[in-house]
Amino acid sequence: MLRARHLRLGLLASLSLGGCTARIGDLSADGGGGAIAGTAGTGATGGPGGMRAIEGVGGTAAVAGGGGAGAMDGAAGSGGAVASACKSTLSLGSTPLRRLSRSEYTNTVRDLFGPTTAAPDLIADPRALGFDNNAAVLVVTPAAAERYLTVAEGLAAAATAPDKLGALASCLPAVAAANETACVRTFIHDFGARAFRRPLADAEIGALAKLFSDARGDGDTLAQAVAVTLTGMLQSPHFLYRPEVSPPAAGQAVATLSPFELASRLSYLLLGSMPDDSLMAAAAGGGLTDKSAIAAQARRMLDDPRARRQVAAFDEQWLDTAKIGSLQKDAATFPDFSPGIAAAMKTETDMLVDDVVWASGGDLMALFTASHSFQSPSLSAFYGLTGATGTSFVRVALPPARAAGLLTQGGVMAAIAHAAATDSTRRGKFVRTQLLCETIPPPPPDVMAVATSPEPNQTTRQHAEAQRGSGSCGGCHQLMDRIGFAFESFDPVGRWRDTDNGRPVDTSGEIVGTDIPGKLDGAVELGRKLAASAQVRRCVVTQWWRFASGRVEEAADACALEQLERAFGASGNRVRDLLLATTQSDGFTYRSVTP
Amino acid sequence: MRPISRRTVLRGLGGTAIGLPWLEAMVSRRAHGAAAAPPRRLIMMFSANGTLFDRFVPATDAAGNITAFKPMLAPLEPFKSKLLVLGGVDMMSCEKNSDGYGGKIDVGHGLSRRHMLTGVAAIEDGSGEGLPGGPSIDQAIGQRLDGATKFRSLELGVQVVESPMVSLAAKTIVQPINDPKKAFSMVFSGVGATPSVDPAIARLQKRRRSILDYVQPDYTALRAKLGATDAARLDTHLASIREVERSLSVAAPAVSGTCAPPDPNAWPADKSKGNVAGPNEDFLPIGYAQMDLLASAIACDLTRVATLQWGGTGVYAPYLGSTFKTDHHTLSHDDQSAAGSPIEVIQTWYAKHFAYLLAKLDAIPEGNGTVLDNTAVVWFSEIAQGSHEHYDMPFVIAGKAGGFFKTGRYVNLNPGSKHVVLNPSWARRPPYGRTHNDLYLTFMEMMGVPAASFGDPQFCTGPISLG
Repeated sequence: MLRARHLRLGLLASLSLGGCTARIGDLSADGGGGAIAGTAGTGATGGPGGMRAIEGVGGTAAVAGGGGAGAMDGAAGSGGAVASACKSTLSLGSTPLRRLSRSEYTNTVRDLFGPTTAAPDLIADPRALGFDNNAAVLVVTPAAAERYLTVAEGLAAAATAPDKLGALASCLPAVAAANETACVRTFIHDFGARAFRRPLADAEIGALAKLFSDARGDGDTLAQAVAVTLTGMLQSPHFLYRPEVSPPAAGQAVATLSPFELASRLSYLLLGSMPDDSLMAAAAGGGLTDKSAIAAQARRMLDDPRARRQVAAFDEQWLDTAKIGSLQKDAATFPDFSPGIAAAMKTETDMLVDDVVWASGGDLMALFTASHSFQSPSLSAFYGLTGATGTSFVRVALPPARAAGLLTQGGVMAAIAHAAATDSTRRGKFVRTQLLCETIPPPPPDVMAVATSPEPNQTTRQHAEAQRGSGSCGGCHQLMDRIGFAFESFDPVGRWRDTDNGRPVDTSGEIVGTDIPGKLDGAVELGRKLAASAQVRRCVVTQWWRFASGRVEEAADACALEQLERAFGASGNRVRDLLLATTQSDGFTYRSVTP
Repeated sequence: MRPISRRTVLRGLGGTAIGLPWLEAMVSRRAHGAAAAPPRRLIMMFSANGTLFDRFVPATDAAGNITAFKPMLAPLEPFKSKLLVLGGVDMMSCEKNSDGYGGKIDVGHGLSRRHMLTGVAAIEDGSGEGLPGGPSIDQAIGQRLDGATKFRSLELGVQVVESPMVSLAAKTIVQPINDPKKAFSMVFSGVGATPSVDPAIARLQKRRRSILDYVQPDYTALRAKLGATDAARLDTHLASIREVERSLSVAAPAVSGTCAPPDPNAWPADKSKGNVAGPNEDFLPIGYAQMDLLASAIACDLTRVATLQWGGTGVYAPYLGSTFKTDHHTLSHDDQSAAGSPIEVIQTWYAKHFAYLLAKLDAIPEGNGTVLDNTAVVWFSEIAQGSHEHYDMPFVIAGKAGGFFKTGRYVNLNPGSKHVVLNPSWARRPPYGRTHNDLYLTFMEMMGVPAASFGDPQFCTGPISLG
């Protein structure tokens, strides 16, 4: 059983060190310390459930719900006297209107128009919390609206080429004039339901048919007028957003999603794209009404290759690995580091993460302990290893004393380093913020010290310690630097090193605070500690929650997060099961109704 | 600048037939309005991480006229008589709020960026960066101009992959266009060699109008079903659609002696992806492409308000052609005491390229002077010096904006301050100078859209007299 040594999620826990406070969790909740604990988890995968109160943002409503915790938590329903964030009422956090992110848009038009559709050249979206799908910042500026129009015109032109028209609606090529109106209405009815991810109302079909006939009246060819109609669909909020607007029962603060709204929520969570035909058919046929049906669809979708793509997209943003592929280093110091090596390192890290997530056991904590990787011969040679043979990437065994999974990936080490020197602060900060979900406050105003140049024969670590090891900087810096020092045996391009500037590297360090406090030596020991940390597991769940919800976690999420963390742990830290549990969580089929 | 053929413009880049122009009559507004005074413009150029006062503040005579530049502004020597360098502008809204976030917002550069163009507290959103608390000054001005130009404003970036600074309104971040070719296809669509009407273009424009007419009721109807926060986001989207529609109704100017589209064929494409900036070697070429585009857009009167953001704080430094082996932000915390210190080199580098933009604008005759003379080109940074303080923000204004500013001067708005020593312990020092809110009120007055307050009203006392 998890005991009180763990910081409870929802409690704003802090530790204070030399005036520096690292914050753990952003959620505030009612008092009571203690541990994460199971409530009465039923382990049920659905079923009718009883009446249960659900709190929306604006109040509480009684709705028919599932029976408590999610599908995967049977083994973890440990109970106990300690407080839980879960109450007899289920609280539901906010459910903001989600706009398709740029990558969701790309995935969606490829599913709509075919896999060879050119990548749409939209304006980049701002990020929040590292993720590209945060609803609050996905606004549409005039320049972005212009791109939506221009991009849609391009997509529509390509989709109405003579050899493509039949794919939009089989009646369209060679349609007789007398049948044109009916054929176009068929096209709007069928294709529109895919574009809007739900059947169109008659008035919506009428408005699009008018757009078409106006274009025809202005002298457009059939294909041109179909292109205008398509362009219109792609400007619609019902395409660009995922509206969840089914009305609540009178006076209720939450509303049950319609089957089509639910299908979209499911599909964009698991596949990062529009629902496929099978899911749409299930929604249309009343087959998405209980948790077991949702679970069955979710399992099917998790076997789809697009689910791997979606998990990889999350991992790349969570672990900030996108930058690896385009790293540039100081050519004078590292003449053999090339764009090709950077690209190979990116492939290596992507393959390792994918392998850990989807391996048969699927224990995500192996991300911090794995002693294998995937390398090409040239990359192995760069590392000074002889693992890989042949011409492509193959699985290689690494020296166990030097390997801590993701943490010691060449690309990760190189990405969190300067061009010619390591950066223990940022390496430690990565562990704190991305893996432990803590916030490190920035240096306060008025205390910025001026850096000095390193002394001859000083190691990077010695210089860092002389610079900021004590005094006003030391309080915060030791939170990060003393973790980051564990990585000092990896140089700025991610290669193993025994010496730095002619002196032996010192990889001793310490984790202050967290649920894995204590001294340590080297990345391998750090990895073992992280793999055993409940705080890390909770952080993984929190990061996924941010990605899944398109927003930062809220106080009302505390119970859901607690249950998901339990389900994740009970499954042996499998991402697949975490996603499945997310679809089974009590709030998944509801939205908050806000004024 | 080599003019390109109208056909090239019309066909867009890559010879595709999309992204085409929106004009009905290629008649220059200014050809008709030749007798009117040239319009005033505001261009704001950002570079990160502040300055070093001891090498920034120019030497002056007793009247404040600039007599000699220190190293960091030396590349601006050719424009000495057209510059107004400011001291004593304090970002008080940010100082006020530095302690107010419980450590949840990066009070160093992140919060500074949020305050820099808005003058108002950021909105905590749990992301660590915070959301902007209001519109940025360029947007506030652009939204109030009379809509005479095709674009109310342009937002251009150079590898801006994090922390864009412009905001349409509270919580509404504007991602600048990082790809100059993409910006070109949007901005110069329809700018042609002859003022004739191409039927195909007119047809395309009509199609676009009917599509935008079709879609607007859907936004209105959906909006009615949403909560206030979501409705506000949809309102922003709808307003953007209407802005695209408005733009369709404004005729594109014709190529003339002063208006000539730049040639995008030599430009690099922006290779930034997501939050990963493109290669360092593209940084300067993209910056030059954006400046070429900007100068042409101003000369063609396609817009009167623009921002150009050069990266974020962490731009990697070897693009400078220097021997630095780390990024701009890290360098800003290095020892700057010696001549030729990193920030001196970097700021001198930016000054040199700022001078390029000024030279382009100054080469285009207009009225009795040049386009630069009718423009205020403002170079700014989000902090004052590497120690993260917000007093004496480094503002350089180039161009007298049609006589609104009296140039050739260094004006210290807080004569009591001593701000030439880098980084002692920075006591928060009274007496304060003028707020950057007041400076922005000055810009609003200059642009003909005066206001009583901008940003946090607490820090607004009125425009600063700089004429």
